[in-house]
Amino acid sequence: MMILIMCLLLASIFSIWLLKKRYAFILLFISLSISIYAFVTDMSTKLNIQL
Amino acid sequence: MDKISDRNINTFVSILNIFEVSGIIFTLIIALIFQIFLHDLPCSLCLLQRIGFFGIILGLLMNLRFGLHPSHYSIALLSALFTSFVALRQIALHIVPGTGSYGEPLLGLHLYTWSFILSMLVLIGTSVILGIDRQYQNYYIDRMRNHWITYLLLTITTLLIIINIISIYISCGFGECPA
Repeated sequence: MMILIMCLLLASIFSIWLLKKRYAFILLFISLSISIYAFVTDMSTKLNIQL
Repeated sequence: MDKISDRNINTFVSILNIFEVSGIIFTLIIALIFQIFLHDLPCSLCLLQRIGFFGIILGLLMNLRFGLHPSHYSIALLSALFTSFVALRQIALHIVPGTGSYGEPLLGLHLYTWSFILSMLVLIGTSVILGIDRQYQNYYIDRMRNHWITYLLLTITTLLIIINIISIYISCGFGECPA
């Protein structure tokens, strides 16, 4: 999952290089959403925490 | 006394953005040095913090590339908030004496503690900067868009992301990273 998020960040920065603001925004929001999902599931399952 | 022109305010805020981005890039380079030379492999929470820092950098780089907008600051703020939550979670894991720690300390504090402090500083700094109303009159976008500093920061960030992708592939592959 981490590699997917990093690839989305890479795509986002290439969109900034190419001045494609909308794509950069969308890709950044998707990567942040997946990160938040990964963080919450990591907390609730692997670290044995009850939310 | 002359009034400060919008052009000067735009330049001043752009410099603040550059300063903030450079600080975070410096932190990520330190983390990479720890990883490569001290064999301090990043855990999944550490990687999430790095992702949060990249989010901050990309938000602020959008300010330099597309002009100063509140929406760019909001991305940086959301990313900083996310980073601080993850760092706080990692601090909480090791806060009880005897529960051990992760990695080597730097200047007496562990990297996740530094990460929390830095993300808090970014939250405060960005909140103050975005409150300067006169910066949003974007008549001078092109000045920073094609400036060599913007290209330098973009290049370093791209390289850092690529190095991180390679390191994640080596340590975790396409699956879950070890806890």
